[in-house]
Amino acid sequence: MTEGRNTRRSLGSGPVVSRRAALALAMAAGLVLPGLAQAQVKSVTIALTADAVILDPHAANELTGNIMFYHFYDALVTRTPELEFKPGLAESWQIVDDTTWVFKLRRGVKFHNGDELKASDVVYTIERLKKSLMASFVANVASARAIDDYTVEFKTPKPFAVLHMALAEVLIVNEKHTKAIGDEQMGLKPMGTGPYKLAQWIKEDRIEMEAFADYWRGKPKIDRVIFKPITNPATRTAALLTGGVDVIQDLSVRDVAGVQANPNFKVVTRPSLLNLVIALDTRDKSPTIDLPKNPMQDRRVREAIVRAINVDAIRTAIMNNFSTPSDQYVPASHLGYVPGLDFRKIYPFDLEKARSLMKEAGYENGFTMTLDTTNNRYVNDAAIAQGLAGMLSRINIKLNLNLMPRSNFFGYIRVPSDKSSFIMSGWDTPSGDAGNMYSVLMYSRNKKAGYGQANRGAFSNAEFDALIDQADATADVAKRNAFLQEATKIAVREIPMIPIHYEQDIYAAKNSVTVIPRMDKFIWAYEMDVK
Amino acid sequence: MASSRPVISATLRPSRLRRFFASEFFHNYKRNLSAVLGSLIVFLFLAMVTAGPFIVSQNPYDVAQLDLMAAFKPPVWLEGGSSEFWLGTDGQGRDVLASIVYGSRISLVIGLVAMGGACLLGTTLGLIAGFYGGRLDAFIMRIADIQLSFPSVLTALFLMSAFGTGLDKVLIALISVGWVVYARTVRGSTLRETQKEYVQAARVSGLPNRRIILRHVLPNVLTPLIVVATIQVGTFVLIEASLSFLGVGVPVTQPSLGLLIKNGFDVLFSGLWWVSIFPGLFIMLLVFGINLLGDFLRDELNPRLK
Amino acid sequence: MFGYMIKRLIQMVVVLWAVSVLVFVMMSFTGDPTFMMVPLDATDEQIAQARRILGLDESHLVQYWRFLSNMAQGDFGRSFVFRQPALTLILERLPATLEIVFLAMALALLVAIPLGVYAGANPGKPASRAVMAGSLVGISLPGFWLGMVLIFIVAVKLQWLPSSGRGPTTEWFGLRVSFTSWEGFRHLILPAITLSIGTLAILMRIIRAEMVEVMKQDYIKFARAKGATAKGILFKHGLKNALIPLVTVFGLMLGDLIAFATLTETIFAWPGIGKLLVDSIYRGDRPVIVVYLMFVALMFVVVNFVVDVAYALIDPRIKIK
Repeated sequence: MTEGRNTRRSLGSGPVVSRRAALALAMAAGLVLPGLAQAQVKSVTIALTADAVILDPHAANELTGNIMFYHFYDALVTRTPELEFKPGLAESWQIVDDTTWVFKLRRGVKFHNGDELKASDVVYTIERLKKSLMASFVANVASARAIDDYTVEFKTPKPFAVLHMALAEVLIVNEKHTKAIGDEQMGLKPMGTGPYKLAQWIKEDRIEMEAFADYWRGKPKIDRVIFKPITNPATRTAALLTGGVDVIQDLSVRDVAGVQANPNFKVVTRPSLLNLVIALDTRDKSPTIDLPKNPMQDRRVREAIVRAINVDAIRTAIMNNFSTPSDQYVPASHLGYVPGLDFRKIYPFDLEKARSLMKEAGYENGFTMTLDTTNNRYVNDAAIAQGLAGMLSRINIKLNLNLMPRSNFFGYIRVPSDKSSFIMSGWDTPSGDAGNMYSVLMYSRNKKAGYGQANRGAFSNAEFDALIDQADATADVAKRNAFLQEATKIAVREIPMIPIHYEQDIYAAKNSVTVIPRMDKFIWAYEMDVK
Repeated sequence: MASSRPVISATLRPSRLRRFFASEFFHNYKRNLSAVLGSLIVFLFLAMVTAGPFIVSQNPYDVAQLDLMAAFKPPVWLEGGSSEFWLGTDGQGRDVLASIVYGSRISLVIGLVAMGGACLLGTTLGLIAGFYGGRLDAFIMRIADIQLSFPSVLTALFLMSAFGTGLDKVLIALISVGWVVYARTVRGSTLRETQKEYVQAARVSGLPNRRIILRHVLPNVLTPLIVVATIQVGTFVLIEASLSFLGVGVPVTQPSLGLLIKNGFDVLFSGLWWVSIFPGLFIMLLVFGINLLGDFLRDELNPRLK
Repeated sequence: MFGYMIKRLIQMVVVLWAVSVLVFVMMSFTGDPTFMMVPLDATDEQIAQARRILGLDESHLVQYWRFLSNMAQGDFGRSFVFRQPALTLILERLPATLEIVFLAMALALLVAIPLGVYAGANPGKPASRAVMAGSLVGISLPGFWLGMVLIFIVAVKLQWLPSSGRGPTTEWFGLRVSFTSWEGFRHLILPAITLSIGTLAILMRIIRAEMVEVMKQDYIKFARAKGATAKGILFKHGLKNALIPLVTVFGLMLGDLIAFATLTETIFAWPGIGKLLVDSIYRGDRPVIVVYLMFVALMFVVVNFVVDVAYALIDPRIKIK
């Protein structure tokens, strides 16, 4: 911290600066620092797959944007790379009663403009989010109230044991600044408590950031971070190998061996949170199946489909081994995960068994239906769809493919999904809690507001619903976990959806750069270092 | 009439053919190297898309026939190539040559059908506009003007972005951008024809308009369309390729040559050139052949445009 | 002249209006962009709120009316994705597109004029035939595919030029341009060549055809009879008269270049308006698509107007009415 202040003073600026001056300082520093070429100025250039579209953390929720947001802003609760939840801007919190939480703010946290973080900023953030596109971030907050400058009281609409986990996605903005510059400028000029300040954003070319010396966790180790969007995977690899950039996101699978063979570079991989799942229609009559009764209402048919899908073949042949077959609907780090329970072991790939199940159910001759999925959203989505068609043809299910760009897809499959029988899409729950996924994707439709709104297969199981209700009625995390685990067991038994695999994130970097891959994919320069 | 028909055709046919072979048109054709080359290329393509699927060893879209172990094999003359896949394979072990045969079929069918549709629509509207004149004429031609102020690729791209992918949608988009040129040509010729005495006479004699149009006007305005139509097939193949390359053309389950190029694009930077370069070469050859033929036809049929 | 301008102005407004109607009608076919913006677990209220924020909560007719009335006040709508004025987004990226478009145009003229004149003045010579065959190939190949071939040979194999992206830019009269530095210029070369080929080939054929016509004219014969040198005839009489019609195809050329820039920019990851359009189509970002099309339409109308006037000025035989 002190070191940081010295740097500031040496640049000839007092501790309290106006917004404009701070900006000018940022610009000046951007020009001066590389010129000085001091040994201790560390910088890193990171190539991403795309440019951010907007830098307002309450206006978008896509990966590139999120990566930027967490450099400029902080949340009350911090998510570690392993998806553990630790105190962030909030020093501590306690649950007062079933629907009341009190968060104590850390004192002396500075925004980039020098303002101190106050409870009013937190309350303002919640209110702003409620009116924004990303209102779902605070769906479980009924109200927020400042008790004093450093204490905020949250009310939840119902008992919600994982409020702290949900708040890890709520990035705190500065009330005064945000009101002053307006929504449009917020998208261009981020200003938060985060470890980095925006130096320059040349659209489609670069986002440059510089370390915020007064960062409350301590000054970042890397002084300058530059993000460059490079869309083409091979170009990205080339940029790394020729030295233009230090780290790349999404190393092309084809280039993994080449980069690994080069002693100056390393490849870093980790399974992501994105679970590719197929929703099976369980209504009486299914839109794309030309039969009086929907065969997939029969659990045996659902099981046959699972057993006919060779997830390992998808991994080796289509994903080049860079996927992790899913054992359940959520990863092991999440609440609701049942240790030892493995979808793949319960229903291993077994064509004989699949065929006999089909025969038992009376569908030996199969049927025809349509798979709806994207062709530009998930890794190799179109190839996986074609692979599925081939696999299901072996049990006489003829799968027509309806592949859409994502701009059409999500509207098309939207519940009541009256055009779909078989939908493949991805689902990730960075909140670390299966409850979100279960209540949205598998809870009976139209039973309760805010539940089952994306239950595309219209799965309905009273026992399952009751467990979710119980989980959502307790403010105790351990109890919630137990209820969700029971729900997981039911889901694995009843197969409302088929989990396929988790995509794997692959990064490549120069050996001199320490890269910590995060489960949520949010590359964070604060955790990195350069030798 | 009915009883005499077979006799007429029996006597007419050979003489018509003979007349054609003796005609100046055919004489010029024989002497024109590029015309012969052009028609040869087009003929070979037609032969390939008709017979090709029975000749190539693989149906590239039958998933059961694909072997992922054979992915990214280079063409046969390069190291690592296999005589099974002359032009190499793509990322899913698909024979590039087989994909090209199937893809050419889709490209060519789209080009021909869309041309037919555009020709039909454009000619109809052109006849109506030219024959009746007045407000209807003004309305049709204003639409044509507005459309012509936009490059057709852009219009088609925009239409596809609204429709989503699909063979039928590509056809609609191409017909929507292609009809204008026929409408304009036909309208011009119709205006000229209707001034002529025989049409005036027919009108005066009280023949129904539809009959006049179909019997007297239409046959006389068709010749210039042959050139336009020929060239348009080539243009449509290129536009469709562009749309599919941008991902708004044909669906991945029915890949045209353009989509094959798109599929190969991502691996091009890694040096796997054959997946995308060969399909492009075939598009070029096809359109080149069509254009050669079109050039010759233009010189022969529309000397004014020479 | 004045009457003509008024007429063109009215025509321009009609064209723009037609484009806006068409775009709105067509866009009502596309999926609701709200679903791309909201999380997958959004509830109905959240979706309704997002629609309200994006201005999609009202009927298409009301939306269209709002669009028109906002436009009258100079507000062309706001991108759903960027949440910035769509016009700003386009103007921001315009210099990048103009850079390759103008370079491509210059390249096309520079190559097409001499070759076209040569082929037109010496019809029948083998070299002329080769030029014509080459131009036919140029018309027949998909431009984007040529770009890929260039990338493979020049960038991947030979590594002479960068394969994609825009080089370093500098501020130049308030515009961000890349041709001022060598590194920036190197990035420009391949996209510009790719973009120019189609136009180059068409141009060459037009010039040749004009040249053939001009060479048949009496004044050329006179000049020849008077004993003027072949070169003199070619350049003083032939070229000058053959080039006048070029002015008329200028608008057409520009239109083609802008249209094909969408493909070229996509291949080379060139951050211009063409790539913005393609990206916006993927994202269902309707306001940007609308403004792009209206902007391009306006550009064509203006260019064609200027061309008409210029044509009248160059060629006194033509009267504007």
